[in-house]
Amino acid sequence: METAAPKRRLSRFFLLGGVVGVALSLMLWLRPSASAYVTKVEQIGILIATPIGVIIGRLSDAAERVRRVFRLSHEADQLRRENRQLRRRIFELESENRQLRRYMAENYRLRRLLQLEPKLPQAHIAAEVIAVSPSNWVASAVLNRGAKDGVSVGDVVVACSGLVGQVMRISQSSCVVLFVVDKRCGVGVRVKRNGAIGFMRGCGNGKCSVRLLDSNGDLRAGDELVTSGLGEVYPVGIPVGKVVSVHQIEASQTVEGIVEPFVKFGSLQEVFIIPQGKDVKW
Amino acid sequence: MVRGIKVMLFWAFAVTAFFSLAVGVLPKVRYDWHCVVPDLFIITCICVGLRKGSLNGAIVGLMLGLFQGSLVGAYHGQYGMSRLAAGFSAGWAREYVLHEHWLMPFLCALVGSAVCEVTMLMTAPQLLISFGKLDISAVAVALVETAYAVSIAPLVILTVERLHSKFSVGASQRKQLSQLLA
Repeated sequence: METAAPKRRLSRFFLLGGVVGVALSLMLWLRPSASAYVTKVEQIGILIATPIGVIIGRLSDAAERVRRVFRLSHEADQLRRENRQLRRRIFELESENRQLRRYMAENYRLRRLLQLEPKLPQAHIAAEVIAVSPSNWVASAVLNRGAKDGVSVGDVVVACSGLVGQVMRISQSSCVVLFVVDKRCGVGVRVKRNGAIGFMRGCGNGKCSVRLLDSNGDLRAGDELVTSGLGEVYPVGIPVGKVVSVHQIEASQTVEGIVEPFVKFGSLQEVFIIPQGKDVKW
Repeated sequence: MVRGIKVMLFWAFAVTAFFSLAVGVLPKVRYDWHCVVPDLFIITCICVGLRKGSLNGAIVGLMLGLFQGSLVGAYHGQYGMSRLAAGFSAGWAREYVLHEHWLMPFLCALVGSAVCEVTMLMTAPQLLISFGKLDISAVAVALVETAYAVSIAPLVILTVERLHSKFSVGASQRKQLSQLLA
């Protein structure tokens, strides 16, 4: 009887040691720099999360539709007015679009005359968000497209409203995309108003900060930012976000702006993956 | 038989609710409101450690941490390690240091969560040091996560204990009644 307690304590100690040993070896085996490819353990996790993500997405879709139906019945007049305005706007945009197509054809012709490579649109890969990162430290999401669909590490991910991020890791049938609001993500940007070039990086709190390369550059609240394409990672001209505030950094005599991305990462469902190194017409 | 089905249904509901909140609702809230949300994985590890002991806390923490890491896409082992530390330290604090005290759940949750955050930042220092500088916002995130765990984990434990005592009393009464009838 007396030896039972120390024996139990000893076996418990060995069991705990085993668990810690397994954890340590997994930590070393699964360290971020080990491989860009998703491991078996991660695949299991993604496999578990896939139906949950799909169910939650469908439920929130259904709830949104029901809510919209109720809202529509109350706002019929407003919708009719809006519809008239939109029809007018469509007419304007169609005429503008025709004009732009003419310019595009002219641009293509002139580039060929100057022996420059024409910038033609490339095929995107449509993808759905399976799960958003359940952690406060990393801003990322899992998509339902992988290596077998032609996705590779470094591919750029965009949504209808703008830039989402970059593919960080891939498996055969899924990939992990790092959002632009993550601290480890940096994007070369251009101010749409005056063409000033800057560097934007994530703050980790759902927003980004931008600094212009020119210390005397003009940056104002309300400025819209697009990708500059200078880093040769992101294609040129993808909308990124809007500057919400600007402040002076005394140490470096430069201005820094806080940027709110156009993309709503919380309600992100469908995205497009642009293969790396391919240019895109936005 | 009926009780078994009830238990199964309860666990199915609990697991679905946990994953819906942890993987579905809270990440959306985090991006929509630009805020730090409670990490249900840490809270669960701490609760298991408090209820079932350090070893069970460590095992559940490791499993949940690896699952969370697989969804995050980076720092997988670090997540596993830190959640393991949270479950183990919460259980250890209850077993050896703060036995039977009214403050016990709060302090154990504090110990578990603090150990988890420190382990996370130690094993993945790139979260703490951004562009060569110490990132204060990372420390703030760690503190807020700890505050959430300290305030939510004891509530979960109290609720579970209340439910457990209610159901276990009912079961023992049923047993006595069946013995009397026999």
